[in-house]
Amino acid sequence: MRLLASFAKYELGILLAAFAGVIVYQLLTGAIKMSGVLREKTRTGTGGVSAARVQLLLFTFAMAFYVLSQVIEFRTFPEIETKWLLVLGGSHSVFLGAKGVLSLFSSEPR
Amino acid sequence: MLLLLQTPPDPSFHFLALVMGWIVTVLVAAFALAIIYKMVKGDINLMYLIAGADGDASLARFQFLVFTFVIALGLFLIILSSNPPTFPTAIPGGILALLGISGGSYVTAKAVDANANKPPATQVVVTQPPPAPAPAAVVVNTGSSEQNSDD
Repeated sequence: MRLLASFAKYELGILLAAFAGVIVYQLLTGAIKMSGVLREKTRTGTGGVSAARVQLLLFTFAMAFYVLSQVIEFRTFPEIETKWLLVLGGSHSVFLGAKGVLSLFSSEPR
Repeated sequence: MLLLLQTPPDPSFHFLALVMGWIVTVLVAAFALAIIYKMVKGDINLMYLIAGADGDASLARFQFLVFTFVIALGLFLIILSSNPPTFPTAIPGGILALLGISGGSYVTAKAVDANANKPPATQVVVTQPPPAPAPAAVVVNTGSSEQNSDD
């Protein structure tokens, strides 16, 4: 039984790392399309770089690094304070609000 | 029931559990390896993994992917850190809220995209039904009166 547990442990680790590795590799090489991720999308097409998208990307990376670093250090999920959840929720609201406004009030249909 | 719990475990059941454990472990590994192999080879096309309906990359999908991997890797590390490996007894509400915000944002962005790509509603022309024909005029033959006047 101990051998089985050890095998399952390594199997899960290798498979999870392989999934993440394949996706990160394809993101870096361009096999997974990343173009336009920061550009605003209007009904007339793609516009310039959107501040709402940039701030959401920064908050996403910040929160992801925070959670991962806490898990690596303390080997348990961290208690995230409500104010940080509100900050992240606000960031998402700004992104969604900008997206909704642009899709509603563009002049020509795509 | 108490008697069942107090009886010593049957060694054949232990063997059966071991066999089932190995079968499930190997099967999961085989499935995952097949999927990873197809992803690497290109049979499973990941080009539009984070793309929206218009073909451009979607930030809502990207952040959902990032948080999914972060939570999955974190869970894996936590499970491995205990000896024997055990699932955490409680997951903090903050982590669940984080996943909820991320997933909710993805769904809302998808709804906004679907609404934006909806074709404009066609103009509905309401036509008035043609007026009902006027009732036919009744012509009363007054021939008898003319005869009377001739007389």
